[in-house]
Amino acid sequence: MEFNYNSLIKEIKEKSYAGLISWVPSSYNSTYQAEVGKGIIMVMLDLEQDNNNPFDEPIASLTFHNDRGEAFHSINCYTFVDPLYEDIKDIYEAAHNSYMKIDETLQSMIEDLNTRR
Amino acid sequence: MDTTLEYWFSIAGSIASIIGIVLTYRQVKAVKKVADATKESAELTQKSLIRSLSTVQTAKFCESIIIIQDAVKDDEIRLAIHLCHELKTALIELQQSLSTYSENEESGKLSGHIQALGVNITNMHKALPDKKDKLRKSKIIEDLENLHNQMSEMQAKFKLNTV
Repeated sequence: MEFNYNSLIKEIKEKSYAGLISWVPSSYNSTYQAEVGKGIIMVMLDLEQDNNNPFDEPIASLTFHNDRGEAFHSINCYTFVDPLYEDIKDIYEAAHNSYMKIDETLQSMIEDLNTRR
Repeated sequence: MDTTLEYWFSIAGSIASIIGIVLTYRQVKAVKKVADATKESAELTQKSLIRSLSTVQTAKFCESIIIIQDAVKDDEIRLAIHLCHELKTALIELQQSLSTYSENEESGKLSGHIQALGVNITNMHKALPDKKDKLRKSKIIEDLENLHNQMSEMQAKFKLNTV
């Protein structure tokens, strides 16, 4: 049976934006991981990679691991024009935002500044 | 006269049958009791053996974890991957034997550690051969530290028979 990963990606993206997925940094640079169900999802965005040399290493990826931590499916993007690149990039940014509590911190800064007259 | 004799024989036969049934029932009950006691004793021995083996195993795991942490710190990633694989396999075996002998709480706690080991193995593979600098070693060491704590706790419980 062919599993529809595209709909899963959309779901992960929505839930990440809503702050409903708890992302933490993984043991590889530019990668976040989150426990979902019995598995783990890992999202990677390699911003340092030289785009003049495409197809060498993925610039963005989404990997699915089972309950023993073994990767069973990977979605890799090697160029910025890859159809799923934007989705994976959005998930990575939502993960980064959620872990770093960026929105929360900025909001509290604005509120604090507003109270200072 | 014959009828009376037949009557008494029939009564005696019925009484003998009832006594036979009662005796058989008592015998079956006694045999079952012995069988249950033997089964219980075998299970207790097995549990006690599993506990003793698990105490030794967890102590060994703690040693392995320290060696893996050192290997990661020293950039010996191939060695770390090899030892992580061994540790993961041994943890899966321990988890299975614990769940067989109803130590569900402890076996459940191992799942997260097994998963973390698996993910870290994948990441270490990705870092080979020339991207070791991309590895977030602190995360691997932290995950191993958590596993070490869990193993120490389990070891103490096995020793005290509180698992």
